[in-house]
Amino acid sequence: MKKIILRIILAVICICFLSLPVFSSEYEFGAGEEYTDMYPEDEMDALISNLPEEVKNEISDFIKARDDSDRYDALSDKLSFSYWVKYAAREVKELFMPKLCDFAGMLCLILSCAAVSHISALHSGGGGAGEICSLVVTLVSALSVTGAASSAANLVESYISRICAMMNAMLPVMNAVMISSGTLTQMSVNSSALMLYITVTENIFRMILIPASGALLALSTVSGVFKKINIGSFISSIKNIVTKALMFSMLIFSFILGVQSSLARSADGLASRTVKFVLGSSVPIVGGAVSEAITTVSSALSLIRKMTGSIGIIIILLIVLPTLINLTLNRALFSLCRSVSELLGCDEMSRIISDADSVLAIFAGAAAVTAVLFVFAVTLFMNSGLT
Amino acid sequence: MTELIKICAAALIALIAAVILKAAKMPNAEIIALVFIGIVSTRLIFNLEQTVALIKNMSEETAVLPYLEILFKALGIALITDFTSDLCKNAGEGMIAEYVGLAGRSEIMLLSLPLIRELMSISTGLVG
Repeated sequence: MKKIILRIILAVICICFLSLPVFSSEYEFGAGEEYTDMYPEDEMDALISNLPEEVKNEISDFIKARDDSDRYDALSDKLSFSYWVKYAAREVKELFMPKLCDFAGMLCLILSCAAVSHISALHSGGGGAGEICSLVVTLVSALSVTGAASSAANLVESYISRICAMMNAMLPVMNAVMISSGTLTQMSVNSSALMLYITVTENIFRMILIPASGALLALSTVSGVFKKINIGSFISSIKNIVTKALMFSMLIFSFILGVQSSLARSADGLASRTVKFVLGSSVPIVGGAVSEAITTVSSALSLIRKMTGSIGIIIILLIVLPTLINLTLNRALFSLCRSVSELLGCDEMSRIISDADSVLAIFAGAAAVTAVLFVFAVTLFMNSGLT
Repeated sequence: MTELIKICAAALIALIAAVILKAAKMPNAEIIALVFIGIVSTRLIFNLEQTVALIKNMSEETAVLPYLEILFKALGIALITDFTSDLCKNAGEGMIAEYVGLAGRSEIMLLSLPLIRELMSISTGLVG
């Protein structure tokens, strides 16, 4: 009897426990709040506010995008070859007519200088005023060419200010993404090298390149006036020295940044694997899931990193292309004018134009090298991450 | 073309007249030459005015008009100076010819001073 009562009580207890409802439900963190993605919103806003208006107009669809898929769509348009060809064609079309007017003006001046030179040479045996007329011809030609070269120098100065300001604003974005990814060593290496290069570039352009170009143009005028002095070989030497110095700095910077980034990446990868191993082995039950979650978050941040890197490269190209196109058109203009002046026998004017063309070549080379190095640095940032 | 033929014809007539007067040892031979030069110069100045106006119109669209003005002023000064200097030398007044040449050269130097100033300002602006 007792056994039967005991069994009945046990059965009742079992029924009570077995009939308890057990269920699982998903917990919504911050239910009702908006989803916050990992995109560095504040840093990107600071970067965009530092951009020139024309660049902002080009990437307006990216600026207005609200989530990652819209940003990706906006970027994919600009990563095609046809977009850049159309952009370059548009820039050339905008600059073509003003340059054509400049060419017409210079051509008019060359023809007038040639006419005056020849007429004054016919009368040079008289009071000698015909000979001194050649001084006016040289000064007029030097002034027109130096004016054009000076506006090119102002263009290059404005370009270097904009690109350095942009890179200074890009650094916090890159740092924010790298910190989120856990790649602290790469962040410190990248940002220190880039900050150093930005400072060096700005100083080289402002304190050496542009003042040197002014001195070269002045010397070129002197050599035009005093015909026995020819500084063409001197300018070629300066051009070679500047080109080699830029190539050397590019080599050193890319080598150091590349090697340091590679080593830092290995260090960060080792740290990440250590953390995952510790989590996987020390946290009970869910350690493996947490370790996998870290990998998933890293992958998501990798997408953010590549997106911000791509927009950085696009912005660099949008800043550098108009400057390079402008300088190339100026050089083409000088080349045509030099041919015409050689045809008409204006040797002094031809020499002055040739010297100014060399100065513009130095500017174009320096601008291109700077842009390539910044693109390289941003590409390294894009490829950073945990191995 | 017609204008040039007229000038050449007038030059030949003046030459023949001057040679005849010189052969006849009359004192007015140089005056004939001067009269001829005066008439032709006046005619040339009227023609040049039209040329200068045309060049001005053509260069108004570009930024080189101030430079062209200086250039042609310098050319004008050089031509007038050399012409006057040659006349003085032909008349046997070498000293006057030299000083006329000096005045012309000084005038052209004064004309080129604004150019030198502008060049210096561009260069110093670039240098520093």
